[in-house]
Amino acid sequence: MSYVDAVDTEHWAGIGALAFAAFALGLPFQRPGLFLVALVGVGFAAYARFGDAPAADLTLDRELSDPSPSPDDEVTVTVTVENAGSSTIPDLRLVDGVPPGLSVTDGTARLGTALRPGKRATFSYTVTATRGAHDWAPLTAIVRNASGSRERRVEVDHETTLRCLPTLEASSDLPLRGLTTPYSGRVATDVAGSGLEFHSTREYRRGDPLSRVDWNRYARSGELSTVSFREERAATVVLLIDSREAAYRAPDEETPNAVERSVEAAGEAFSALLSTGDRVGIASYGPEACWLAPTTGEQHRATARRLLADHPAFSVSPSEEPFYPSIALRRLRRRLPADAQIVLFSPVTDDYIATVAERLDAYGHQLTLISPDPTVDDTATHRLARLERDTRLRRLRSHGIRVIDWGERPLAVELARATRRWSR
Amino acid sequence: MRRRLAALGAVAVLVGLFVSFQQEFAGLIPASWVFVLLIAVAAGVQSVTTALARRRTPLRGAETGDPERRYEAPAPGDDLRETLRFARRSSRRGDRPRKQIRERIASVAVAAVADAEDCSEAAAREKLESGEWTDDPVAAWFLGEEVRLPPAERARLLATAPFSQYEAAFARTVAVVDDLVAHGGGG
Repeated sequence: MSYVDAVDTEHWAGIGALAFAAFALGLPFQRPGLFLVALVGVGFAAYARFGDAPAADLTLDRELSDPSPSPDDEVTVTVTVENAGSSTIPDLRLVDGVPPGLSVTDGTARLGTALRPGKRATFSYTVTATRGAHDWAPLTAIVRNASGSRERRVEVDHETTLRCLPTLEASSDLPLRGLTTPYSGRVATDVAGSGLEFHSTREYRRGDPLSRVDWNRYARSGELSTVSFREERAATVVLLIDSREAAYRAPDEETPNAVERSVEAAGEAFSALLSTGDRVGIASYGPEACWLAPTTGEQHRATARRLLADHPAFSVSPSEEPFYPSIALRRLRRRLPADAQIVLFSPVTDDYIATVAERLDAYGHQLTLISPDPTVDDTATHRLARLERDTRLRRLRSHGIRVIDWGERPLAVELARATRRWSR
Repeated sequence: MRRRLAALGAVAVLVGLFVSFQQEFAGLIPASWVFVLLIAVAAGVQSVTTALARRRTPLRGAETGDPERRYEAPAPGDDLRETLRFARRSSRRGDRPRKQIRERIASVAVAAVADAEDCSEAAAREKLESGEWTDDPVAAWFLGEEVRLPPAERARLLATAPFSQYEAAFARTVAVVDDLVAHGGGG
């Protein structure tokens, strides 16, 4: 529990004017009634100076109806405050420290009351669970004396955490680029071998499987030849989430911000890629560093699920830690495997991230950008920001980077459209 | 001063109490009409002083914020609102924000003109400076360093937005660039 020194609220400042005015009128006209009014003013002035805001000794208990809910579940928070001190608190205002990632959907997270020694006050409210680990801030108690002329702020701590881990839903297949590993997978390469898509024919060599011999050609010309297909290999993919302050943008109060949408999309992409045998990793580009090296397996899926849910890098509000973009980029490059391609999730609301995308692509990590669109068109300033973003995306496309401009439609729809466009 | 006044008040109260018990000393206190009026005027002046002091004193109280609401991220372009507010000033202090805003629109407009007219970005920037890129005189003036706004257009702008011509010109230029991006200037 921490206290701040009591301060004057100035609530009664100027009450003396009432006494002086009544006295000034009552004296020359010799009206006893006005003298009495002056006395009332003097009484109030004395009342205002009587007593200080008590140094409240409060204990706090906070209970959640479900500390590990699923996304969008309603959780009831019950807060009980007890006056553990020996003096009565005549005016107590309590404001609970609801985490910034949660919104109160029913009731209110505050209470005004008076509390005698040993007595308790309870209030409750409902929050809607969202992805992440949400820590409650200390409860703020504002204590005043009876007249309200003095006030003291007291913070009462009680560790409470709500953990909400969403399941990793798989989106439709994420179209990947040609950079692959030697392992078999589903990305069609330019290497001739076994696969599904026709690549070329060549002269028959001893040991070639009979199923790949071109029998039609043998019937026509009597020459044995072997059909080769595009070899399908697995890819190493790093899902890079832009979590800089500039990425925390949303078109309105109701819509999740671009980082939340990015994290959700990364979860879907992670699950889809892991299911198709690709090696997937996760990284953040922001003040809080996060790195999960690309690999495969169910254990890896569970780690990624936990990481996307409650790593501070992917919090619903921006980190207050300082961010050094060049150092973060250097560190990321050191960690990236040479054969890793990158799927960058960023709203591209500034020029810097566009430069980062171009540089990573130029370093040989073929980059695909999935950009949740946080722009709106209601005012000229918002429209200019939308035009700036469109220009950046066009520039990236002209540099050979694959861009998915993700608007209001589900990501799976945008991915399907992009796959059709890129396969032409 | 306050201490002296407090001491004077305390002496007055003590004298009053003393006289109420020893009423034979009441005759020593001047009780003429002028003296009473003088005290009433002093009290009146004090009441006005106290009331004025009250008006100057703000109420203090702890700010509790709005913990019930979730973190609300700004929309892209919200940062421009503040810059635009400074850019509206006609004094020299508005020069820098005006330059910032013009640069931001110009960088979008250069790309749009280069796309629409299939020319290099350098050529597009030249068109912007000479005002050749658009038929809209306000947009041409807003982005062109060599372009002057015809008096008739200036009067029209003043009539449309008497208190914020800069903002009106900004909005109009953005709309023209948006149209150029969407329709290549032909729509």
